[in-house]
Amino acid sequence: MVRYSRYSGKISNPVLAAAALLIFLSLLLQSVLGTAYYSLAMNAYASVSSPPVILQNGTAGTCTIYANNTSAKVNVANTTYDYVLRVNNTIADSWQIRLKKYADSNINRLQNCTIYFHNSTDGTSSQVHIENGAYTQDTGTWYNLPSLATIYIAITVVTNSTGTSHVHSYLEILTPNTSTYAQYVIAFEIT
Amino acid sequence: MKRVFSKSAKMLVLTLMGILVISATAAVYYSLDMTSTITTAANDIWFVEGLDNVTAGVTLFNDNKSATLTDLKAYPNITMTYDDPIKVRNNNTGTNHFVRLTPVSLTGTATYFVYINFTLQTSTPISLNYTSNGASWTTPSQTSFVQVDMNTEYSIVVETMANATAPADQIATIEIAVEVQL
Repeated sequence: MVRYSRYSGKISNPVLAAAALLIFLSLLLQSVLGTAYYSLAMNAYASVSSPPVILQNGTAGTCTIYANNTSAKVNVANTTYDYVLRVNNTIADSWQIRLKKYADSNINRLQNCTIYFHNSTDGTSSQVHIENGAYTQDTGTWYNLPSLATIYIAITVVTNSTGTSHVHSYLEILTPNTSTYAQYVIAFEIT
Repeated sequence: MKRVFSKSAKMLVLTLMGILVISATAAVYYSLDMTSTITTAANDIWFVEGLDNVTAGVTLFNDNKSATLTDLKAYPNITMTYDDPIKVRNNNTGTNHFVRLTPVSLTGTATYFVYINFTLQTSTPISLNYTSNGASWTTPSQTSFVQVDMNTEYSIVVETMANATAPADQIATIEIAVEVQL
């Protein structure tokens, strides 16, 4: 037992040193292996296209349509406006559309504000609704935009004080039965 | 003197043996790399079509290890989103893998584009966002590796935007790689 113990003590240092060296070099090998990979290739072709759905002026309020008819700013005051914007489908494909609020400012003064869609045959569809300064609806339900059809955007506003409020929204245009959609920016300025 | 020589000799022999073992091990590891390359034909990771494969014009080929998206649209001043044109699938039922996105090439004028963005929807999403300032493109950096769980599919979301005055028929072509760590 004594001899075994002394022998063990003599060889432990070089063995440990060699083992440490082996571990170190093995770690280096692991690092080299970590960079190995194979690739899947994906080629994407994106082309600029004319928008198939465009925004056009309404008959009430004040509306500014920006370049390419793909964004708009609507100015209204304390009353009902039918209609402030038209959403015009210029091609034979059908779509579904909705409004979705993404930002706002100073909406506390809005006692009742409803932004809604309608067309010439179907009923109205509430899209964004604010009551006593709080949203009861910030995203609308999908509304059909048939081939070559027009949807009208109207707004009813009741305020309880002077000032200016903003509701920034996306008009989302969905290809039916897909998750492919476009977002047009529409800003509502309410004085 | 005898003890010193004995210890040094042992150290030298052990070290040389270690290096020999490491060298031999390294050769085996490199051989394993070659084997992995060969087994790529039957790899665990490949593309599958998503819900938006028609609107994006997706075609898969080369045993689903290559894909083209030929119908992506970019509209002036509009964010166009394809939530699910194509997915990355880990078909292994027992092993998670790690992947990253790498930019490969880009052609097409920067004048009329604002951005073209690719996002792999893993639990920690990774993106390649190609942006234009109207004069030149900024190519994104390679992403870090993220885990793709076994027997799971992850969508690659594509978002595009052209600038407000862009005329029709301008084209950008982008190749990216989904790199799978071995």
